[in-house]
Amino acid sequence: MALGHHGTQLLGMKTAPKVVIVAEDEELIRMMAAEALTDAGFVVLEAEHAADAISILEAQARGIHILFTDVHMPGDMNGLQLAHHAYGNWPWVGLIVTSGQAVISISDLPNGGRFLSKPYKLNHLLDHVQDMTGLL
Amino acid sequence: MTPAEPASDLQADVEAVRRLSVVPTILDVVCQMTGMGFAAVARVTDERWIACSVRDDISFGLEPGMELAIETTICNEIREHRGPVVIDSVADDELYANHPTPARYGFQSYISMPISMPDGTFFGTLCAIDPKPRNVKTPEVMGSIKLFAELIAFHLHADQRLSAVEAELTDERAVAHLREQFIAVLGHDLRNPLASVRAGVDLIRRRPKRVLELVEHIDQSAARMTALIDNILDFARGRLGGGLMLTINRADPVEPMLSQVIQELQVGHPEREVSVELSLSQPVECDHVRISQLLSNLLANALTHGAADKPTRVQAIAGGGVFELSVANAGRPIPPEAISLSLALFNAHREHFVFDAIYLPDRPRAVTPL
Repeated sequence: MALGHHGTQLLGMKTAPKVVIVAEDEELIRMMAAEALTDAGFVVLEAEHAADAISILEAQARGIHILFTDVHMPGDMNGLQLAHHAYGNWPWVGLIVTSGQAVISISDLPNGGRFLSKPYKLNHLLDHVQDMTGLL
Repeated sequence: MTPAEPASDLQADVEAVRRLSVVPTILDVVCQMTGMGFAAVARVTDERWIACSVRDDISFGLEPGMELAIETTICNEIREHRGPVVIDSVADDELYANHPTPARYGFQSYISMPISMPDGTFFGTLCAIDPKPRNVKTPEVMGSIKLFAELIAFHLHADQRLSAVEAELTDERAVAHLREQFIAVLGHDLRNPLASVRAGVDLIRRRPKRVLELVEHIDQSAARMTALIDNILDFARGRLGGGLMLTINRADPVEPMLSQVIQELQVGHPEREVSVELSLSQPVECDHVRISQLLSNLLANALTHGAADKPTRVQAIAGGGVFELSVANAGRPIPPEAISLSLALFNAHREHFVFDAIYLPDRPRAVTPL
């Protein structure tokens, strides 16, 4: 558990925890993902839709490491558009897109983005987030 | 007397004749064979005589679509006795020498042959006239004209069957398409709350102390699934089955029912502004459950998909024999190509999909006669 966080501590580099935005309109699914990531040592900011996520990014994008977003959410912007918007404005933010409906190929995603099909296993989500934060 | 047929059906009949490419040829042959200057196919009912297709070499002046007063025509008599009328020379004809019709239209020779459909119904006549006497009361001419009349009836019948089959095929395709979409949405829309329920259960396993809070959420997800299934069943009954049963409430006013729906949804979206205008000067007799369902779906959709910073407007007006219910919100319009399908109350665009009404940016409305 929490390899990313503890791993850096083992190297003696006292770094701040990595920050993940979870954008998901289904409250329980969002809570579940947030819980799992928090348990793994990440700081999680929850967003109900794309506009929410953008406000968070606009306020504190420098401190955000990962944006994990669902595709189908209410509002004018879907998760895929959100991912592209984030890539255009805050290219350092790692992107993971999830959907139970749309089949999204890597070429639809911004460069370096990843796709996780729904329903996803929490350890798969953690693997991706840890792998991507390790790369940062 | 049979009741008058609607004008639109007659118009369709006129067009059906005009679609038959064989008819102008038949009229040409009739004129050449008989030496007569005017030939036509007419649709004849007990009230009307309408020219469907015309060949006019004598400037008789009748064009397709034009009508003659039915009581001035001999075709009216043919409609009743179903036999042909053929006159070589009106002046020499015992029966028609003093008939008002030849005098009125100025003809001496005349042919009118009934066009009867295969099921025995009377369609109209194949007729020809000329200002001069012609030798047409011969077995050859009458036999040919009869054959032409039968040929026209045969083609009309084939055309009707083709149209019916095409319409049926279009219907079948629409239903098949709907069914596919239906199953797709069934899978998609139920999956979300179901995934929520499972996530909730997982969370309880991890955090047993939060069970009360989580159970509340799980309950809400289950309620959403129930509502979804109710809507799906209504949709299936209404669209794929025999139709919805309505329970018309004549006793209770609709206002409290509408207000309650708005209030319930407002509780779920406290941050959203909903402006309500109820102008119900006339009692509305309707199925309260259905109307509340309709309003609930329209409004929930407007709140979910509409622009969050603009008010959503609910308007209910009853007056002048009409009850009009509309929900309007600001937001991005649905692309026109998506609207055409959604007018069949269904829309493949997941974001804009609702079950019994479509999400339109301006005024989705339901208008029912009182």
